[in-house]
Amino acid sequence: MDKVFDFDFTFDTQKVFRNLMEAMARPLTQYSISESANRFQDKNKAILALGCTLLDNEVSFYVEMDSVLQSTLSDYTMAKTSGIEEADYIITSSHLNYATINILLENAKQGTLADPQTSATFIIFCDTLNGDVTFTLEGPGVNGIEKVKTTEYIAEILKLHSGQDYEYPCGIDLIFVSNDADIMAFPRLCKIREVF
Amino acid sequence: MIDQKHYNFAFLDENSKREIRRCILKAIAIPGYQVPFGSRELPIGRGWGTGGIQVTLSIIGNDDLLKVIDQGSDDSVNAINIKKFVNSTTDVLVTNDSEKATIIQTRHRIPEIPLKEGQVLVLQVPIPEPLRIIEPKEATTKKMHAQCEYSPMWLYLYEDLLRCGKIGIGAEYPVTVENRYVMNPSPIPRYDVPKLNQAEGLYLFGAGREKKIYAIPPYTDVTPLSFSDAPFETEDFRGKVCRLCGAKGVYLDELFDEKTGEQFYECSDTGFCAKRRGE
Repeated sequence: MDKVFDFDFTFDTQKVFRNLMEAMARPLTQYSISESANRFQDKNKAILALGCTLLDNEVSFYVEMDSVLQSTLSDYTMAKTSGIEEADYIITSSHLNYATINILLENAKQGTLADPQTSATFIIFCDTLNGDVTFTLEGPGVNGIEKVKTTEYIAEILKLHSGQDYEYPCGIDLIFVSNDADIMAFPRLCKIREVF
Repeated sequence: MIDQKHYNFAFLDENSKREIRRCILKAIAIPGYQVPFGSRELPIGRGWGTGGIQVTLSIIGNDDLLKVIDQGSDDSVNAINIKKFVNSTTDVLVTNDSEKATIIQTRHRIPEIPLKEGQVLVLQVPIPEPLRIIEPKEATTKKMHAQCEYSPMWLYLYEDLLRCGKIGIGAEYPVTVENRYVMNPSPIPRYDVPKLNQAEGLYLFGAGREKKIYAIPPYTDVTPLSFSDAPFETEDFRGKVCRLCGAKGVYLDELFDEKTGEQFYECSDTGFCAKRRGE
């Protein structure tokens, strides 16, 4: 019998989660999950690694324009698929145009003032996390004000995210994942400013 | 006998860990907010650190080095039993050295040596709700947090100040996190409260009985509630030294010799004290 993947749902999910936890605690700092992600033989290996770490039958997810990935994640995790408005996790597996991303951000769950944890988390695929657009970053997890370099695509998404003007504690948390299975996160309380 | 032959790695089933992990991520994203979670049954009674244990079991991996302390002590019954339990279900090594540990689970103290990047401190919390002293209903305190309505808490502190001449809360002194949530830092002494502010490491709080998880990420503003004319003060250990290692300016336990009535002090953080003595 051939194995579809070597990903271990006990030990690999733990490793991926620890990197994710550090990434969420230290915004826009890159962590690699390639060791675990490479256990999938799939072009979306990093997203599958994150999906198998976070999803199960208690949560719902939405994949934008990738029915194969949606079906694979559903098979591996037994998580429910749903519309954008109800999804706990919203996943993009390719570069989307900014208008589409804005629609996703506008319609995703932001949580409520009483239950901000009911908000959606985005898992956003990017070719790479490294670029030349410079930002200043501040907020919890950031030592003072830090300068961060990233791609134009990520920079635009961060601007769209800031443009939503969420009333904290409501908001949406972003996880960026690259082709090389590097991840970084942008929790809702962080603030960015572009440096020209 | 609990061991890996009979139980899943780190005792909890994967679905339980996954739910707790999702809650931890939300807790980090919303510093100071109490995220509700489905607290699981453990072979330890609720109220004996089950929240902290569930957080530890959900994050721990083969590469970790675990330290468990109870009131600063590595050798108390609670700490020893938690270490044995985690070790028997994970084979993860344990240490008394807070600088080497990657995960430190603790009850009522934060180690003397500040956390570094990559270290996680897991605190066991008996009562996570800081507003419980002024409001018994969970639905009401939840609404108060949602509306950032903390005036009854300030009034409580003011009345305390009027009655006693100073704010009388000792352990679990309420703090504000990132100017938004009032949070209970668990029953750590006042001495430990400033360590939460702009720390290098990550703090996770687990309350098993009350089914809440909350967090303070690194470099987060944590401010004790106080008035401008009655500032926050920590316990005063001026002029007192540890009789074992001679440390000054650390949190000390006050002890008495039953026979002679002699009063003396020892470091509360036993790992720190032993390291100073070269043990």
